[in-house]
Amino acid sequence: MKIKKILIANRSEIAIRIARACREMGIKTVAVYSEIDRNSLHTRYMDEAYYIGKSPASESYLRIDKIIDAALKSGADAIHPGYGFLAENSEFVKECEKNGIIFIGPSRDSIYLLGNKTRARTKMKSSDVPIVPGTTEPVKSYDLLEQEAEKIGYPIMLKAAAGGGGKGIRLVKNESELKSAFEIASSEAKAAFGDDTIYIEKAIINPRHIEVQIARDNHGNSLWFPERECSIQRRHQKVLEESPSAAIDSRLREKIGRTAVKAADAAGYNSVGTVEFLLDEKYNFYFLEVNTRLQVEHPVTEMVTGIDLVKLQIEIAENKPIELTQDDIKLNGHAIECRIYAEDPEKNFRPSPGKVIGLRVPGGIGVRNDNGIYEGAVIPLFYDPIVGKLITWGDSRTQAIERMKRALSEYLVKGIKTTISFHRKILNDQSFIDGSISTEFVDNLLKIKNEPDKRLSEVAVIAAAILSEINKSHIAAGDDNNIKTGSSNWKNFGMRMGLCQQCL
Amino acid sequence: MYYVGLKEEESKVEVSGRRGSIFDVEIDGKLRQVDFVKAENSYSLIIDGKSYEIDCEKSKNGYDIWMGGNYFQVSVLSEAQKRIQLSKKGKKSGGPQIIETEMPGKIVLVKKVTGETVKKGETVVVLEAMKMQNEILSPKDGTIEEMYVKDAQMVEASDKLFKIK
Repeated sequence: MKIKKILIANRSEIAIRIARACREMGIKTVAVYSEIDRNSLHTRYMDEAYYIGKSPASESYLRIDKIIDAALKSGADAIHPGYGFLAENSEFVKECEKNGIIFIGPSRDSIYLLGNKTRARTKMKSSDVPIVPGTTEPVKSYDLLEQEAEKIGYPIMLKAAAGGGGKGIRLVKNESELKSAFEIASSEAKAAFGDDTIYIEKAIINPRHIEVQIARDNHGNSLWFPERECSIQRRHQKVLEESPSAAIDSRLREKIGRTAVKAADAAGYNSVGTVEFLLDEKYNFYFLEVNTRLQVEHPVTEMVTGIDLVKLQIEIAENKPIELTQDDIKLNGHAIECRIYAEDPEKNFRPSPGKVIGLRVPGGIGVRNDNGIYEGAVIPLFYDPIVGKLITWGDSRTQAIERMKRALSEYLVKGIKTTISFHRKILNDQSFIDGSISTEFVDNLLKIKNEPDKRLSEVAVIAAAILSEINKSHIAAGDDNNIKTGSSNWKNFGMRMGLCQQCL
Repeated sequence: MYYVGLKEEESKVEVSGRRGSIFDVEIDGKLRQVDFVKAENSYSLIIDGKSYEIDCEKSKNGYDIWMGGNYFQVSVLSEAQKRIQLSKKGKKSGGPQIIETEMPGKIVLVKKVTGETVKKGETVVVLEAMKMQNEILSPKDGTIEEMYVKDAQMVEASDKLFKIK
């Protein structure tokens, strides 16, 4: 069935990304928005927009009833869930089905199977897909947890059975950390997924996080794409991703790719999705989980293959067979994505919601911006801190890195703190440049003190002094409005300077 | 004369003269001629033929400055302000300390009650913002003298969380 109108049950950059594909495909778009998002970019970008409730996600973007209501009112044929919120909620899929609305994503059975990490691990184990050692059952009590942890041996990872997106995960190095980690992981899991079930995996030391984008249709056709390297993480949240991985040659690429397809086949998967693996230092890989949604980092795959994954996802939802064959998937060059978070890297990455008072995004060859903000936009504290993604493409890894450094040097966000400067630090790090990274990379990098560039620091100091001098002369002239960047103040500057030479 | 601070370093800077857009700036005794002009939303500086593009916003203590993807938080004190700062120094005591939240969010867990003793680095309050749980730790060994927040409470940046003695 040809889809004519899609309700996008999400917000910010990913809602815009999906709407862009729809616009190119001639599909009408419907936005839903919470109270605080009335003026957000996604609300303004789409053809229609429906209010769905108060700002907390639990009263808006997580309200299945209100989203279905909006879909029925707008006459949308389909709902795209984006990532997060209801993207991996099989209840939501059921409600869509009940109301004759296509859910753009895998079937309810696949989500049910793969959405729960312990069920997925059991299934993969029986389908000959290698898994990380640990429990395949949820751990029901703290006492049992203690026993299981002892059996598996520290260090271990506690993980939310319903988990994803880095929430509800804690590394436990020894027994003394177990209780506090258990409490935090359960409560984070409860808050993020409404389910506090926890299971245990043995922690693999210095692993790389490698994932494979797959696509599988209702007719059993499947594809795998060149891997994404997502080892650059902080608190299990990806920070920077690239494709391909510097650690993987074409033989290993094909082996992991085929294993990913095997996992998708086992789950009867029917959409685009991502199979995540850990790669240990001996290049053994272990199944971690399947993300049954479009991933944040999907653009790097699009950049190296030229394939629009959202378009492919919509076509699969229309029940079309995939027209591409595995031979059509060619790896071309290298792509890197930097997630721009509203966080302050100088202050332990604390969230930095607020109003964007200035914004200049980079451009030029090989640069892609997937943004959810504009100058004047307000970043609410209710949702994920991601405000945009900057992606660069180059014909080699080195060129992609150089281009990313150049693009970041052009990037300016004022009013909120962002992780732009932290990305520069990553890209200048020798281990990163050498491609010798693991999921420990960010923790190690954070131990290195920032050495500010001496020359630029002096320029900043000089600029601050001159601005103070200009400011002082304003006050002396009876103008107590500080010179911010307002042009009216500046227009008068020359004249005032003429009037009060004695100030200098 | 200005006392301009960046990270841990402080420079003495004098803007001693100006011809048109050229400013004479003495920084730690070295003289620089700075061509300083404003474009629409930003400033252009040319120093010794080197060109710099900066953006800036007034901050609480000085200026926030962006330059080529770098971000600088610069504090500025006039001579009078510097004197006040110096006279205040040395008065710091080990008295009670009030911990404020640096970010807005929701209190999801209050782990300590008034009167309870805590160790340095121990979690006192858990605050959720942008879907992440942030543990607010005790800055020192001591006793909770007052707890200002309760479970499920929403807080704004710089709201008081607890007082520790």
